[in-house]
Amino acid sequence: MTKEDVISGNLAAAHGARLSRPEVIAAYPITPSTGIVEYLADFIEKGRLTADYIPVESEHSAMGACIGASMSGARVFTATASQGLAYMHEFVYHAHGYHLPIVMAIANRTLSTPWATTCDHSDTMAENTSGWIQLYAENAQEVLDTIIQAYKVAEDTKVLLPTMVCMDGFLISHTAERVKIPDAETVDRFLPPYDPKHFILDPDNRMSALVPPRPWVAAFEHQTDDCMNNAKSLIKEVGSEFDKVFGRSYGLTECYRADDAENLLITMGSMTGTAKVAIDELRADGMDVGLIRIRSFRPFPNEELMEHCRNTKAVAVVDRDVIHGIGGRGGAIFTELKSSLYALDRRPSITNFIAGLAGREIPVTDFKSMMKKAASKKPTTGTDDAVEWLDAFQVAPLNLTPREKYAERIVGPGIRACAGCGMLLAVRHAFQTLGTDTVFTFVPGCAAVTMQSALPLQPLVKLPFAEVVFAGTASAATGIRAGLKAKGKHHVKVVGLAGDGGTVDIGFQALSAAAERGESIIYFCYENEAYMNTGIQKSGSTPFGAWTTTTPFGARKGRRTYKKDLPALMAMHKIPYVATASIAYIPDLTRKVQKAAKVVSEDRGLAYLHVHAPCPTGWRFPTSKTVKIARLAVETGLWVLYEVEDGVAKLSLKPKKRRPLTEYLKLQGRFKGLTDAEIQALQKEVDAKWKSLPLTSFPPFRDFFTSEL
Amino acid sequence: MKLPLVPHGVTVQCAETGSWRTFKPLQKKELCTKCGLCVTFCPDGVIHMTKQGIEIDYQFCKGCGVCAEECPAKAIEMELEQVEE
Repeated sequence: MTKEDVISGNLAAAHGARLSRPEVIAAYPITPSTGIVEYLADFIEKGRLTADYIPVESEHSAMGACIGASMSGARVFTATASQGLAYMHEFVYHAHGYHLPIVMAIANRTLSTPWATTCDHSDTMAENTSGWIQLYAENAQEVLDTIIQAYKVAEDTKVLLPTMVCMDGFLISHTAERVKIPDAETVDRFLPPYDPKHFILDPDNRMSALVPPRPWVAAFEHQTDDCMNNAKSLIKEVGSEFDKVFGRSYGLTECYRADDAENLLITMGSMTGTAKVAIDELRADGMDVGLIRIRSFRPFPNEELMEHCRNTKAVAVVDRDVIHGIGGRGGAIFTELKSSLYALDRRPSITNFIAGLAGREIPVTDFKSMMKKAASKKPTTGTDDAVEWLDAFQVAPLNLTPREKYAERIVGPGIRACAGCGMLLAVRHAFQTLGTDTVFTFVPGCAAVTMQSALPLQPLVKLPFAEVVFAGTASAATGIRAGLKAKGKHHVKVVGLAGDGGTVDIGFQALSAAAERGESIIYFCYENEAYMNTGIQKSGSTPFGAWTTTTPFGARKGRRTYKKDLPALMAMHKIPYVATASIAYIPDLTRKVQKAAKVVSEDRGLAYLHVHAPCPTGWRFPTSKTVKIARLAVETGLWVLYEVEDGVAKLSLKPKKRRPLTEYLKLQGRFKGLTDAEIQALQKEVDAKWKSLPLTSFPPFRDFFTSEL
Repeated sequence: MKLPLVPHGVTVQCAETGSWRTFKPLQKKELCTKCGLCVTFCPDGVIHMTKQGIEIDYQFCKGCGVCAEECPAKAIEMELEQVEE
């Protein structure tokens, strides 16, 4: 039986995916799509969905795992947004070539400009030649419905193309509305299980994908194009079949009071609801207007739009994206529409409006004035003055006051981190120790979002810094160091700052390579044992048994595998300095920061610092206990303070008598799922670890920078 | 050319976070030994050591309570913030 509930777009997407019964889900947290896979992880743990959920270490691997699973014949789902989609890019192109009907929900978000977490379509428009079908939903209901339909279209042998189901980030993903949730049996009848015939990696049915001979490449591309054309009729057929079963009809476009309208407003995504109100008001004022919403951007509905615009005088196209470098400074829908209408004998005047970039609201009044402005223009074939921008260069000021009391501080007060933040305590002392001859780069994470204040972009840290992409802490720091050296500024210390997710997972490749090349940078990892900035998802550094939103309590209790020991891995790179530290031992931390600074100032290679920084929000403990918990981690022997200098490992602190591990675990809500037997086993592991300490596993190595051979 | 780059360096700009507070740290001056642990461990760095003892900057203090928890002399107490009428 259909259930009705008030839910967010992300939850609607998760229900759509759940009802489609994917067998494999691989995903990586990224705002604003994270909620989708959090809900799915929860469905799986609560027994509402049978699927293998793979919390991978990057979006590149998310799409990689999806492609692998689809190649083995499984139905596959993932979700991402913005930078995540961009990081998937090369695998995204693989999916259409292998004809893998993967369905991916996108919560549309601005792609690097240089950074924004708000909604526009720049992320998916960057993939609009990738051979993926792109369907854009107007509301949460349509998100749910479209995901189910997407599998039916994508898996049809006439199509066999991967499909993106796009919803506006935050505007749909994070707002709640009334949504009808169909029952599983009815959806099962509508959408039968995936039965691939074209390509399966299976010893019982041997097929292999080869690097095609040259002429085949064109044939493959041509085939994808044919499939894309077939998808046009399939999307409509599946849409009306869906209507017969569920009572909601969908097509390539949606017309709203558009029959024979003299003036047309063309929209896509969530803005349409507001635009429809504008149409009603303009009609009430006597204006002959209608609206066309584009639902399928790929394939683009050329024929339908030609029909709609055949007798139209003026068209206003609203784009939530910009295509840079095309003559008229227009958006993606604008350019597609113009080429679609080229074949018409009599073409309407088309005005493009770039609006709603980075989530800016587009109110009813804006739609009305856009439509009026477009209607007032004479038909023209030129495009020079056909593009208008809303909102450019309008920023609201924020009241920020310089405080003399903090003049000597590197990290000022007023950082927007949570109360009781361990990261802030660590970074505050580390930067103060390094001094002002320091430049740093960081990646999306708690440090990055909290140390930059809101508009008009006043930094709360007195050091030059720039935010870069999630996988790029060490590579960007490498470049900064090289650039400063090229400019004769050898004395400037360069710091790469990232959390555990940005270090042990997505950033590890760049970090490992920077270490092995001997780049003289300080890499500072604040360890809070999960992706906290996106809302507590499991990272490679999440400990055994810990709850996160992607390792929820259900059939299993929290994470079931062990955390990656990154400081040890870094020591195995034979770099001059590796140290662990804790926010409960500040003098030890600052001493280690000084040592790291000395190493890089002597140009001896990479200095790696790994600092335990408890997180009250994610670990589920009162904000006052941050330091206490950090101290208990050391006193119980779980977190070992040590340093490895030129391969020689040395304990920084040996607890006289180790406290029982349970003292540390019981204070934190995230460990509530651990059984007594598991706690005992973990205690034994800690005991065993201390038997092999002090560390002997890192053989000393010759320092080629300072010693004679 | 406009870019989101901001020249800075003389003083640190501040956005007040005192309004976040639910509990307010209050010091009992007579118990304070001026050990400075609260100054060190305040995540936001808004406790200052003066000749008269510690000074909590309530314009920025978020009320996390780490200072009260860590104070060996129990010289800081957390009190529920009063709502201003």
